[in-house]
Amino acid sequence: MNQWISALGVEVLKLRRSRLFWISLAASMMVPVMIGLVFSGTIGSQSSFEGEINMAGLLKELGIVISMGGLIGFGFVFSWIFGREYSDRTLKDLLALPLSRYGVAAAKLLVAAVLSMGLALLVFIVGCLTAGLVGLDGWSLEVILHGFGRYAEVSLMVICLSIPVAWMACIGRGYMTPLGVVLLTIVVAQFGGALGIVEYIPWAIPGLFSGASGEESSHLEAISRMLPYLTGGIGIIGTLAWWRYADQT
Amino acid sequence: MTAMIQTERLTKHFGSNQAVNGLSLEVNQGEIYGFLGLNGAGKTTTIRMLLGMIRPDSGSSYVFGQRVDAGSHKLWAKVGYMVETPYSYPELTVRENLEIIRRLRGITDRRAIDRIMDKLQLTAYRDRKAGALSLGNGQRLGLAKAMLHHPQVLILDEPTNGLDPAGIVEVRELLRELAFQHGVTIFISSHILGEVSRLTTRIGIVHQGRLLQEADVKELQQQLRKRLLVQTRDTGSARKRLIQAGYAVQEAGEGTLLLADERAIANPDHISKLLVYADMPPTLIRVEEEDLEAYFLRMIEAEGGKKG
Repeated sequence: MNQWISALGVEVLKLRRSRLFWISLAASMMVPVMIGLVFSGTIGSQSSFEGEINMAGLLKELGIVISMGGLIGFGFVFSWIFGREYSDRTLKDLLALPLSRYGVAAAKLLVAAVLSMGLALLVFIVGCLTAGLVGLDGWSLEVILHGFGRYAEVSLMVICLSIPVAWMACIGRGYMTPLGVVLLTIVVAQFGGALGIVEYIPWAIPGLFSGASGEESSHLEAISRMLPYLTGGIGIIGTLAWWRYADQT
Repeated sequence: MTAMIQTERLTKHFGSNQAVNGLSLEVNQGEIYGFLGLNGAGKTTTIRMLLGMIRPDSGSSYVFGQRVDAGSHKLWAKVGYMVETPYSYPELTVRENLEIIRRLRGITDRRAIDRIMDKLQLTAYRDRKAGALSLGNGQRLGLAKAMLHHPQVLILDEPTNGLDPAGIVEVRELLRELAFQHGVTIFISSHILGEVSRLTTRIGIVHQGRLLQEADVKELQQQLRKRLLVQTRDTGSARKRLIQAGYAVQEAGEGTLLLADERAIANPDHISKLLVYADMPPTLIRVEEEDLEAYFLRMIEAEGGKKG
């Protein structure tokens, strides 16, 4: 257990020293600030947003941003944390340690998931603070707490959907394959809409749930709402199994 | 005695390429074993199988008598290794890279990092990012990571690659000290026989995935070809005189004659006397021993006719 905690510490150290960490923090602060400023009419055009221009509308917009942008942003986090070991050719130092390979891979998965959660939370907090500072209509703690539940669920779905990207980074031995997979999932989600099977495409669910498609999410069946979590579970199993059983050439 | 490292008929294919073919070897405690072969001979694949990174198609490997597989992680607490060119996290300093290994290996003594940096002459570079290190210092960092936890078994793939001559001597002395004074078992792969023969106690020659020969370095020395080199001021006449005396003589150019038969090699004084009496005193007479590189290439050529 102690060594597993050490593995977590190691992953945090690597993350802290990386550019990815600071760039992702900066992006997670810039995006909600921009949305808040556009909502307030300080910059851009308020008409570019559908729906109400008030605090409830801004929270919905943050959910839409995380449902779309999160797939790319969190996908990049998982891709980097796993793919860098192949690209920097440091993987071999992690394979014959007095610590199980499951433990090393699980530490990586946990750090990527926690970072993604932190980034999602940062987007939400900075968005709310910006809305408060620009005096957006309807700003109240009650509205914020009400909006947070759905935002948190959308974020969790997106993080789960990003976990298979880690597996793809292992199979593709670097960053490029998983990033390609992220783009493919977005395309597939769009196609799903055209084919009328969007409710059964895991990567489309957060968009539907957040209202990005303009539809109400209440008609989503339980199976649809489960799909992102199932996808995440498959991603965890696939990644751990790859570390444990695949030939590491 | 239980072998510290053992492989039994280890075999691995990658597609149609047979990387390792029925390879069996044993390395005992305190031994420095040189695993010698050309690039692509199967050295790194064998090392990866020894470390559980690759699953063999058939056969097994054992370390400390325990069978190796990807799940046997407790085995690696006393094993240090370096596979191929060592790489480190480029944005982290030398010290931070070693700190990562210290934590992952559960070493509680933080001073272990300072000690290994001192031993491998890395202290001056402790705060330099690994990405900015020279090839030689990157190699030293790889060795430092392998030795940080005082392993009982060290598995090193081409450990002196990229080191300057002084660095090669330093590392050689360090490894000899570990083996001979601390009983560490060392398995080293290399494609440079001259280097390996100076360091190791036993050598295994691998080619196209098969172990061609395994021998003590001393035994190997006895298998090297010898020949007598003779120079005189009149090469042609000297050659005729030696042939008349029943020796097989070859001309090696630049006025040098080569005699390969054992009678000449064992008795160079007889050759000298013969030439002096014929009024062709030798200006040079010397027994030359085939060097290990030449022996290695001869072995490989005898096997497959190809050097790589």
